[in-house]
Amino acid sequence: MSLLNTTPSPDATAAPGGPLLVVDSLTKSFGDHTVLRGVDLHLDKGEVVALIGPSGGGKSTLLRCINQLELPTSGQVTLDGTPLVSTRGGAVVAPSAKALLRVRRQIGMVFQSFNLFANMTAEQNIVFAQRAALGTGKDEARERARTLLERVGMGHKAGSHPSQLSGGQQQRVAIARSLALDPRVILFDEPTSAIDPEMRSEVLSVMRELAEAGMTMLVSTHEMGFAKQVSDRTVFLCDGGILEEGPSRSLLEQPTHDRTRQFLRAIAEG
Amino acid sequence: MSDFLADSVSWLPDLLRGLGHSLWLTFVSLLLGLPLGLVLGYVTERTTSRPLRWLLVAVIELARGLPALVVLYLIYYGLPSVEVVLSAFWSIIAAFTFSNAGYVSEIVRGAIRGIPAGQLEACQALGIGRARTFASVIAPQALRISTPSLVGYAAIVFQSTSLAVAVAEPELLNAAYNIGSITFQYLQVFIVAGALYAVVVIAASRFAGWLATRTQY
Amino acid sequence: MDFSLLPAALWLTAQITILSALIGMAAGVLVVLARRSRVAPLRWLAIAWTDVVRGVPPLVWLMLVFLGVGVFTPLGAAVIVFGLVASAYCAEIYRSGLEGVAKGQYEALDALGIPTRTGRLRVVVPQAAVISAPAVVSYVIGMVKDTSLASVIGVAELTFVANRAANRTGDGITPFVTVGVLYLLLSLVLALVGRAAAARAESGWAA
Repeated sequence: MSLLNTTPSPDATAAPGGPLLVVDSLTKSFGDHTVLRGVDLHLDKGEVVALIGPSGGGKSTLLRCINQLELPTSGQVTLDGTPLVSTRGGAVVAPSAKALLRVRRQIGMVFQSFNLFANMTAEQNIVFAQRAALGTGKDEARERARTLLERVGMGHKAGSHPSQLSGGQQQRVAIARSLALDPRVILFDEPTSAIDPEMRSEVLSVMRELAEAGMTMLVSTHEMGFAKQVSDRTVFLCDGGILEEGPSRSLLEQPTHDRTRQFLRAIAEG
Repeated sequence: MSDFLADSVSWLPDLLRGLGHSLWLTFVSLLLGLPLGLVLGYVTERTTSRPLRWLLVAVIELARGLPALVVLYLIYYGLPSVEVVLSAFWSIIAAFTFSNAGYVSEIVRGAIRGIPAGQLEACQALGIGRARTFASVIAPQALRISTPSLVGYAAIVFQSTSLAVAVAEPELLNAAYNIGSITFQYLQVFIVAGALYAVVVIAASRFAGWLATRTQY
Repeated sequence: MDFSLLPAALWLTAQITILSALIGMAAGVLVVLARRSRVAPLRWLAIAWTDVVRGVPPLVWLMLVFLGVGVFTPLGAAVIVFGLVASAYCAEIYRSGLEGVAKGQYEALDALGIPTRTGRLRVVVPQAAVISAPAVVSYVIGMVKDTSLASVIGVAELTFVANRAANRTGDGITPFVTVGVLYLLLSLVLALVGRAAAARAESGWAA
């Protein structure tokens, strides 16, 4: 059963074969502190890319710059040929509120801390997101919410508030909420880090189904098993730059850089 | 406008004398209320005797729940019926000390509860005695946590000294009221008096806010 | 003392408390909106308002408005003063309630591309309201005591009636103990109502 909406999106006419998401020489500094120093990355449609690397290496900032939760310092992000970062005279400027909303509705994001709306039930979270972001009608939004909750195995908890759900359950609802907007790509920011180890598999298996259904995904993670089995490619981000990238299996089993090897050994011993 | 300024300046000596007395009332009632509140708060929080704890909680709730003005009247007009006659000044001090002790003890209880249980457990694990634990570990941390609230509270005590007008004690509001009843320029004189109160209170709360940012570990 | 005067006095105390609490809670919304406005002068005005209103003792405000402005009845002056004072305190409570809403909630709204106004209205404000509710309740309970100050400008509420009885009969204990008990009872009733309301508001979701 597919997790994805099967109706073709209107953008399907864009150049076929080209990468869906392109990150081009992206840099980000907070004051004197440089977090990203020229990151280049591309994701093809349906590709799943794992983003690994030490904490503080810029993984989270990279994801947040892609959907413009953070304004990049320089560089460009292109979704299906459309540039997302506004520039004026070569400098990055804050985009208009309207442009921001448009960008973010096309790029889903799943947070480490779930960030479900605390004052709404699981179902209300998903209904509200569709109605507020897309203007979906009430009945349609509710029906889609039910379907999505069913698909992430949370149909029985539709009426529960986030505080009544475990971390794994909250994260599955959050994934459903993100899917409800039919994003072109979903960014996962360490989706299982805040979840008890024994609850992680329920989230990871939802993500695996999503990957198999053809969703384009960029996943920052410490789950090397997930990276190896599910992602097509793995990118090692360290000190604000991509040190190494390649097919997941070969990168994770035979890394070429010492730094990557060190990191993988530390994780394995962790 | 120039009249207003000239009048204000001419009232200032009387008002400042009143302000001085308000500060004095604040100082004396805190001097008595703070230690009383500290002890009350600590004993209530740490005692193992349930009846004592309930009794103290009742006293604290009474001190916090009764309007200070009613307590003041009760002491000033009520106690003489049982042959205890206090001057206006000492009636005010007694009433405020009672109210203050209740509030201070609440602040102190909160601070003691704010100290992580691990601090106490560490002392127990190290075999440090109860008195030493209180003096060297609990009290310094509790004081550090509660200092900003206590400074903030001092500002509230200062404000509440204005109640003393009800028993004709010559503090700031009383001075302003007297000027008003002679000149009938109530609005102007209360604006000047209000400004004097506000300057002291705003300065104290800014100071408390600054302390709060400084005392975080 | 003449106990038959007490019900009317108690009702007056309750009226002042409730009316000024309602004024304060509503006006506090305006003050906090100004405080968080994008227009700097509005923010300054809101800061000045909260500082000055809270910096001057309520009794001074009462005298200033009743004797100084001189156009209000004692009851009117009391309700206005306590309402305005409450607006400053409520605004501060609302402000910390808004600050208490987790940053992740804003991020989720942004990430989903939900328009700012909709997000504030449907997600931020409801959560801030529940966070603020207990503080508002305890502030309103504290207001019961403050209303005793209205006796000084001649509002015939509990303290005023007790004071007059004490002066007439020479018995300074019975009247003040009696009204003291009534104040405690009134606070208790408000606390119970407030707790029930708060429990209802956060039923289900508050952590």
